[in-house]
Amino acid sequence: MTLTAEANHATASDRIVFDGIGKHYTRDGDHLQVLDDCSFTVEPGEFVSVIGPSGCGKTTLLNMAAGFTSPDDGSVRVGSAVVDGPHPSRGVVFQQYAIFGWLTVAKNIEYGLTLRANRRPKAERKDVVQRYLDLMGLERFASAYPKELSGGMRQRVAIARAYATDPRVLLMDEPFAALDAQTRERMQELLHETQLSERRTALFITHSVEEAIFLSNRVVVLSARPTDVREVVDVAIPAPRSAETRLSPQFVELRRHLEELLRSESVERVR
Amino acid sequence: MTTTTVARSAPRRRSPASGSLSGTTRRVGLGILGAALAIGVWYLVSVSGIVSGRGIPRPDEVVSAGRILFTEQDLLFDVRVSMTRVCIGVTVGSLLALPIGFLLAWYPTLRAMAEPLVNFFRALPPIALVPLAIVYIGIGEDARISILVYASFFAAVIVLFEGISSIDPLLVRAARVLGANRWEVFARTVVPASIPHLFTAVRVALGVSWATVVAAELVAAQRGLGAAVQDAATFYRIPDMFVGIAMIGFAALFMDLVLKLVQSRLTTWQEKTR
Repeated sequence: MTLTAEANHATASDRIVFDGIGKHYTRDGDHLQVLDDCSFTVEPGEFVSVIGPSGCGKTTLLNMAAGFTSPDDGSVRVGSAVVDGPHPSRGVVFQQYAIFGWLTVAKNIEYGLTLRANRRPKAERKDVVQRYLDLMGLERFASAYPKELSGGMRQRVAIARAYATDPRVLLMDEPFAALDAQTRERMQELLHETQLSERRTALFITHSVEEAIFLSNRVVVLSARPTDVREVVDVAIPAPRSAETRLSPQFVELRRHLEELLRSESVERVR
Repeated sequence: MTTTTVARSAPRRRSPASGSLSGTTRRVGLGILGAALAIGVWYLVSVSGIVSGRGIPRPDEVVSAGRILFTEQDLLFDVRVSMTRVCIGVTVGSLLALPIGFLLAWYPTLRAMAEPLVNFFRALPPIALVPLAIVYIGIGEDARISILVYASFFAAVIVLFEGISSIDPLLVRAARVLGANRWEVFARTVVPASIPHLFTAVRVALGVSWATVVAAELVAAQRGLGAAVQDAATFYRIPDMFVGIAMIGFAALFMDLVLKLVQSRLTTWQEKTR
């Protein structure tokens, strides 16, 4: 284990437990079982990615952890509490950024800290905003409006905004899926560095095997529908990771293994 | 590595009316050219005599008629009367539409109940209510203002609730996970995201109100631009009618421009669709 949890404030109360999750829909009289007895745990301070064939319910799992939807069977627990709605202790980064267009970059980052649920004094807010502006390389954009920013920059704002309220866990739903390949790699590196310094329990949904390996301590591979956990793969590549890491034999081997797993799931689904 | 990106893509600030100076000059020049051509065509038609009966007055006749109307008959007073009516109607109508628009957007059940009604009353031309208003309220100022409030309200409310319902639900989700309670979601996310729709609603209401005020003044008013045109028609003062009609256009255009200016100041953050 490389990105160990010891160096930071993550505690047992930050553990995310998916316990026997089931979810089904009825559409046109057809019963559709999406998730079936899906269980895994994200340990405190750990970065876990979830990959799986498309339509397998990855985002549904994240939405359950965020409190946007609830499972039909089983439960999601963060610490000892069962998730039953959105809460600022669980930060979310969306694929479509969802930053507030009418607020400047700095005001977007500050937004959560001005709400009653986690209001901070003005001086403290200023410090927090400055800190995440620096960390995300957004210093020069503090007073810019989102419309002036590229997709990558917008996502930095969204990540900074999620960190600013100091959530116990971070939930990220394919945050880099809409970015071009180069920006995407740079954002992965930025997020990796941030995770090393800020360390949160993190659940990351992605389509990209490479992205999952690069960022994570462990990768959860889901099966095709009805979805359960096919395999959990440890990523024993030491941090800090860099562009070089992607070319290392260890990385390439893991990638081969995970892609093989995904391919076999997709084939099963087609049959 | 990140710093180089930052330096290269430094933000372009404060350019609501983006485009180079030469582009703007060119646009204004072409606009003037277009107007000049239209006046030229008007002149040719008026001297050619192809319009039968009384013919149409030349541009210069209309201008001199306008000069007399403004200096001797106080046409400016009529302009002010009409503008005031429109302002009151649009302001009251939009203020009423605002809370209703939010309610309808916020509660789907309410919306489903109200939508057919709202569509009916919006489709119904406000002018059709003028006779009814005269019967119930009389021919005074109250009747005209009521019609304008009615027209503005239904024009604004539909734009408002459609705009507000189209706000990205993801923004509401984002606010909730950051810790916003129901009130904060409303006041700090839905309301600011609605401001562009509010402006659109007021501009639509303004257009409908001008159409309505003129019609109402044609029927029952002593003063106002509609009354001035009607008055001129009664005595076959055709150049005067042209002046009145042109002033209606200019007054409506002027109010729309003022609103557009305020809007661009208040919503610089908004992404242009083009």
